[in-house]
Formats: sequence, C-alpha cells, structure tokens
Amino acid sequence: MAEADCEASRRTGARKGDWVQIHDVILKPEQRAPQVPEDTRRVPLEMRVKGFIQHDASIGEEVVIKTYAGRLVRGRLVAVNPRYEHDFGEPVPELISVGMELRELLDSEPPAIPSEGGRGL
Amino acid sequence: MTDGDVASGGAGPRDLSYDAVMARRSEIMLASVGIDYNRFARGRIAFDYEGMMRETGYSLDEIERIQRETNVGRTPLIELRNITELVRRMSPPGKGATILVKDEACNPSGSFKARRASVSVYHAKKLGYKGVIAATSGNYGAAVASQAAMRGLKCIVVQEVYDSRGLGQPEIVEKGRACESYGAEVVQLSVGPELFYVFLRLLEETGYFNASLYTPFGIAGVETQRADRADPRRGDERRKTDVRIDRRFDGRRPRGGHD
Repeated sequence: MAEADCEASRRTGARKGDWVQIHDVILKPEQRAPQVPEDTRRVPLEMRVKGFIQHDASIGEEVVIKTYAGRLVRGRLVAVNPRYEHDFGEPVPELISVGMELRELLDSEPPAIPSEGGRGL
Repeated sequence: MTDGDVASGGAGPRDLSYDAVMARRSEIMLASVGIDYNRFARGRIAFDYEGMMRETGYSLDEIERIQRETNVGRTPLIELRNITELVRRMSPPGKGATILVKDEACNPSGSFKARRASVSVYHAKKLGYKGVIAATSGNYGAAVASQAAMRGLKCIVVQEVYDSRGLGQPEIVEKGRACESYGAEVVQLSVGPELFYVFLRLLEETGYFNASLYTPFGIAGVETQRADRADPRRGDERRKTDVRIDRRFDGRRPRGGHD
C-alpha cells in the first residue's frame, strides 16, 4: 500500500499492532452507584484506554487491545494513534498587568508605600 | 489467551457489579496493601493513626535512603529576592522576612508527590508485587508512574477525566500523557464516585499493589521534605526557617507550620 493510502486507512481503521484508543461502558445508567446524583445517573460510566490492537479492525468495531501493563482489554475502537491535545483557556486579565505593576514598584525609590503596610498583594 | 482472560465483558468468575465489588472492598484492600485497617479501628468512629504509622511505617533515615535511590528530594532552596524586597516595601519598618522557596518541581516527575510515591513503590517491590495501581488524576499519578518505571514495576493509573460528551479536563489530560510517557497504562473514566469501584476491580484483576496516596507509605514519604530544607548539592548550609507555608500547587489550600 502506498504511504498516502496507508494514512487514509488509519483514519477509518487500525492494523494489528497499531497504538489505539478504545471506549467501553463500565456501568450502564441503571448499574451506577446508588449515591450518584440524578443527572449523573442519566449517563453511563465510561472508560477510555489505550494499547496495541490485537487484530485489524475498523473504527467503531469491537476490538481487543494489549495495554502497557500487559492487560488484554475489550472495547470499541475509537481512535488510531490518538493525538494528545488540550489548551490552556483564556488569559486572565488581572494577571496580564500585575507583573508590570510590581516591577514599577520595585524600581521606584523606597518607601513606595507608607509604612502602615498591609495593602497586601 | 482465551476470551476469559480479556478484562472487559464480565466473563470472570466473580460478580463485577458495583455492590458486589464494594462488598469485597476490605478483602481487596488487605490483599493489595498488606494492611488490615480494621486492626487499628477503635470503636465505631476512632482510629489509631499513630499505631498504624508505627507498625507499618519506615524511619526517616530509611525513607531518605529509599528516596536517594530514585533521586527524590534534596531539592534546591531558593531565595526569592524580588518578592522579599516587595514585601519589605509594603511592611512596617523592621518587618518583612526573607522568603525562600523549596523548589519541589526539581523532583523526578516534577512535583513533591515523588516523595510520597517513592515509599509506596519501594514497598511494593520489596513485597514482591509485579505492579502498582493508583487512582489519581494529577501529579501523584505521574509520580507513581515515574517511580514504578525506575523500580521496574508495571503501573496502572486510573483517572476521572471526561464529561459525558467525552471532553477531558485539560490538566488531567496532560497528566495522562505524562503517565503514558513513563510507561504506565492510563485508564480514563468519565466522572463519578465509581472511580474507586474501578480501582478495586483493577486491583482484584491484576493482584498489583495499592499505591494510594493515603496508605501509611504514601503519607510517610513526605516527612523528608521538612528534614531536607537545604540542598547539599548546592552547598547551602542548613538554615533555620521560622515559619513554613506549604503551597503545593496541587489544588489544596496552603498549610502552614512553625519549624
């Protein structure tokens, strides 16, 4: 298979030995712990785990993987070579200028603030 | 391998329902950590904490030796000159202490949690367990994974990370990546108190050691933090600190203490 074809096939499936992520439902809504709140009880307890797939399969199929710890785990194939991604959210406006304010304070002639103190940082 | 060896699917001989696993909790904990917590119960609500730590703990010297083996601790003590100066400018004359920070990010795995994980993982290895498991979504998971890698044990970290749409909490996703890079299996769950149930199931399935933050071993490992306030590698002299404030950047409130 040409390299490009190989890449395309990995978006829809995995070959034996690929590093993949699977998904499984551990507890259905009616099986959940008695103490969970009402809204949590409406959804299942889900698990995602990664490992080496034991056979060729398409995304969405039931598969078996071998994890780093060596466990064989069954679940639905959701991703091949899953990407690590997250972001750090919006900047905090209060923190953008605080460094400049403190630097100004440090660079000014002491005492910058009357000695009653306690204005606090 | 037969299908019966595959973890999921409930084909095993034991009842894996929530209630059944929780009912086996004491037996699973005893097998996975070697401590019968019931022995230290005193009546219905009291617990002999000191007794438990005495019987199951390590001395400070032993802990230091264990931690040296995996380069834990002896982190630098750094004077924060700018912050000290700022505080003095805002304080009445004669007030304003020298502020020092102990840089716990210099521990392997990047946090003080390496101190706690080090003793658990050492103990697991000593008792002959093949692997360790921790149910944790943060720095402690990375610490256990890192210590297990150094000691040659398998490691499973169970995280509570996703919402019901499959959106993961960023810091936890990042810690999962760290754990995997240390060679741990990371089991990622949607939120719910059943994290503990899955943890018990994994302990039962694998026979691994329970490297929980809250065993005596996890607790004992942090005691060296107070003892090694100076960093001998940098030639600092041991200094007397008057007030100690622990702010561990792990989501807890600061804890203070006079040394």
